[in-house]
Amino acid sequence: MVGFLIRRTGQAIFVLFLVTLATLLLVHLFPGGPVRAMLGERATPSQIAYYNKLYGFDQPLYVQYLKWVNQLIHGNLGFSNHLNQSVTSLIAQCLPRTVVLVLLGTIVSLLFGIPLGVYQAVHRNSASDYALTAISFLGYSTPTFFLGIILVDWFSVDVHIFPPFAPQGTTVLSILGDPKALVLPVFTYAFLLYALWSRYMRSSVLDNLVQDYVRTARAKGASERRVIWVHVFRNSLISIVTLLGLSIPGLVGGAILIEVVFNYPGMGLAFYSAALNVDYEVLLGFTVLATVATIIGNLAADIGYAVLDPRVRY
Amino acid sequence: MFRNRRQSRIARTAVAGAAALLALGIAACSSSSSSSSPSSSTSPSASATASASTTPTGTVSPGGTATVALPAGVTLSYIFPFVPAASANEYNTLGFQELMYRPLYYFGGNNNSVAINYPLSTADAPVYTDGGKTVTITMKSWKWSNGESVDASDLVFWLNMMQAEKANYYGYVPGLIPDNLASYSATGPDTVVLHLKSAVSSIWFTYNQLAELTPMPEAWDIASAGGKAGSGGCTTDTAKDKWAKCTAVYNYLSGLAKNANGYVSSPTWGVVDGPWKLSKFSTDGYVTLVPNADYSGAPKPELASVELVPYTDDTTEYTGLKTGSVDVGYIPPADLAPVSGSQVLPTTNPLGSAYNLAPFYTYGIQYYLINFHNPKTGPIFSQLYVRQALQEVMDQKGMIKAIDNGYGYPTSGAIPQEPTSQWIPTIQSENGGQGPYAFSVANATALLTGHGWSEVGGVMTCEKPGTAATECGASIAKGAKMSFTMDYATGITAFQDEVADYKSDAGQAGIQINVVPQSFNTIIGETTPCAVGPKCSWDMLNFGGWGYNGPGFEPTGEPLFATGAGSNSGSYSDSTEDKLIDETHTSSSLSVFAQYATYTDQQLPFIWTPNAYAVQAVSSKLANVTFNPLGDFTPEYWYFTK
Repeated sequence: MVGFLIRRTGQAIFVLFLVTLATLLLVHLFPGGPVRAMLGERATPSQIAYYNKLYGFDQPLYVQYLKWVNQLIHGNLGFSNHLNQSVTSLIAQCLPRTVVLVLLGTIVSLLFGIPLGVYQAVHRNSASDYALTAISFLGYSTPTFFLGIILVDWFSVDVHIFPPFAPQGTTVLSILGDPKALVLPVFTYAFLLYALWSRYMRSSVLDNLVQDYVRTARAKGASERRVIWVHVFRNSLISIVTLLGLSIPGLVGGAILIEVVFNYPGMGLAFYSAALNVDYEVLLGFTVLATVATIIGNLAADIGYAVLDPRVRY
Repeated sequence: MFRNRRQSRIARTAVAGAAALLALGIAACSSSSSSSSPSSSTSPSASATASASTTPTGTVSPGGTATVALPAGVTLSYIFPFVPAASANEYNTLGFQELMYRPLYYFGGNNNSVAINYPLSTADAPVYTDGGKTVTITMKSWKWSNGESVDASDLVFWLNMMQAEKANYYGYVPGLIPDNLASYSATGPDTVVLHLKSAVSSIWFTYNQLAELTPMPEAWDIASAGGKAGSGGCTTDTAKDKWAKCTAVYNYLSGLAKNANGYVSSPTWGVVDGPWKLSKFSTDGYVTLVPNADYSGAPKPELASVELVPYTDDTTEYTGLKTGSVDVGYIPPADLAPVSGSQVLPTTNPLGSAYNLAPFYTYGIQYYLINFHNPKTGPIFSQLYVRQALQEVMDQKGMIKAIDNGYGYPTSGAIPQEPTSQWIPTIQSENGGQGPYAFSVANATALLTGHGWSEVGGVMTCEKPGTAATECGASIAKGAKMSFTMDYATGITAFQDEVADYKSDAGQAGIQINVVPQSFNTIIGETTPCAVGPKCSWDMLNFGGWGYNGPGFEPTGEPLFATGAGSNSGSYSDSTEDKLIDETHTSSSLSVFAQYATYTDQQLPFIWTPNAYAVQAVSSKLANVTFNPLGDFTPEYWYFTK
């Protein structure tokens, strides 16, 4: 396992190098250059030249990259010239919101999606299976922003049950301190994921139910409850673990549409805004974070396999 | 006040995305809010004279917090009025800094005017002598909140800072202030005298040069934290040390301005001379301002505080209005019923009686650019008759009706049509406000055929090359086609529809326009003026327009139409135009200005496109809110009613 972790860390650094280099290159591909895009149409040639020098865009690309890496090594993710704050403080401001939304949404969706997926598989082709399948398809096919807007219209504008906007705090505690305001965004986020988990779980359980080990367990007299929840359930979780691992980047990537609908500026919106404003240090900082999260997510999934499946060894 | 973050996309965004430019201060005409029944009702005053304000009704109820929606996606980010280009936008300047730090001269106000507003300014009217070569400015001796006087040395401090840090001031243009000053000095506690290198128009110099100055308190003249007021030495600095003291002060202040989390607690930024001071500032967009008890001007704020609230997009902002969580906001265009004729506001108020509505015009013009330096199509654009034809196939009124639902007005020339001002030449009122070249496909066709073009395969083709009156014109070869590519900015549906409409109408006159959607950044990248050559290949760029709301307020043409001007991206060049522009800098005669404006309107350096306006919503409990076309934000005039 230790060797595996060392190998994966090496790979991660290489991936990080490629991704950040690509991001830096992309910034330079803005028509007219990054400063022109940043300052807008009124920028004069002398202003463009001045800011190119000020931000170091007049230096060779490798120098720019090395300077940025040096800055990164010293724990400095950069400074947003558009927002006038450090990238670290921007992340500190946005990340708690996104983490709360994504984490709560994922937990809620798992709480419903996994047991109902198992239930559907066990009662396949029943009326309840069809009904739950219909709900899942609704979850899949309903655009997130549309669902959010509808919920806001019904529950906030029409009947005033829930606030229209997510909590506006910037710390986890202050966000959790306004649970009523979390209901609609979390539900919206969870609804799509519920569809995902339940469909995967249903499919995975169905696959396992026809395996030899299930037949053996039943032949040995194991109860149906034991067969499902002890034997089938654990094996069926393997595919879910993969998906869960891959969803970790969502913790830093954000859920931009939900952030927009519920006026909840998190990581997704911040990144989108940085791209629009050519806020290159924010772009680079967020890219690093998202890349690291992706790598950790994959690593977590790999470790999860080993835990769930004794045949897997690294 | 608040327009789009991209300053060039002025009114376009006012309608589409950020339309609402904050509801912050916005101007008025007469009065007229649409009173409506609880569900929705008829506005009795939805007419062309509808005011951009909410009529004061009821008695003043002092105190209260007015919550104001920031435009979608906008957050305030820079407090220091000496703004670098990277932080320059009207949200930071007009909508934030000027509430706390009043400029030397304030333009607009809580009204519909775009003229200078002396009562809101920190100095009396400048006096021009010596044939326009000497300007005497007398400060009003207002007080900073720390007790200092807003005096002559505060203005010298700013001028010295400009000398030292030209590159770091967004409004600096080589050759203009401070380069055009031979010398300046404080000749008394409240008097500053500027000696200019050459005589100037008093109007131009006041509106487009003095407008850039903001007195700074002595408390800011420091080069380190805790420094004694004036210890930085910038106020008394000279060119002898290459303005080193001012540079040190600038470095300190700009560094301080980069610590947004420290704005409220900073003793430096706490010294204000405007009607408001900062109470809360969050980099995620939430900003609260409270009255400055020591404000010397009038009126004094009635509200206890003003709270700015950020929104992620138009829909969430509108939800804020529907749920009553904001007092001042904007209605997204998609939620407005069409208006027709002289109507300015919708007959039915979509928000019911809880809000009054008001139009918000932007003091700007809309256009698309044509590239005179394109080696292939530049010679075609150089022909005035071609530009006239391109303008005459622009159905501005039709677009406004069909696409903007009636919430717009034509751009008829270089001077904004709204609000009425002394600058608008009579030529712009021709043809029902369409200017000299009204929509007429027949006229456009006749212009082209009358100059040697014939339709071949549906596209006008030059059949008679040459320079005679009935020939195509210089450098246009036989067989040249009236076929152009228009790059337009994506993301705004109304804009896209206008481009499609234009393509269709132009096609009827045999002008083929191939429209290419591009990201805003791509378009901006193309707007750099280029020398004639194969790389200078764009034909038409369509992305918005220009706002005359700072740093200059007189709509003279030097930034747009003068040869070599920074935003003259299509490289239009005309010696008469240049001469007329120069004359507006040296003559204060309105007839001279009218000559410039009329000539520009006739020459069509750009092709004008429709202007759209936003519809603002103001809580019916909040009175005296106006929406000035410059984008001023003056909540000191607002009050809640009993």
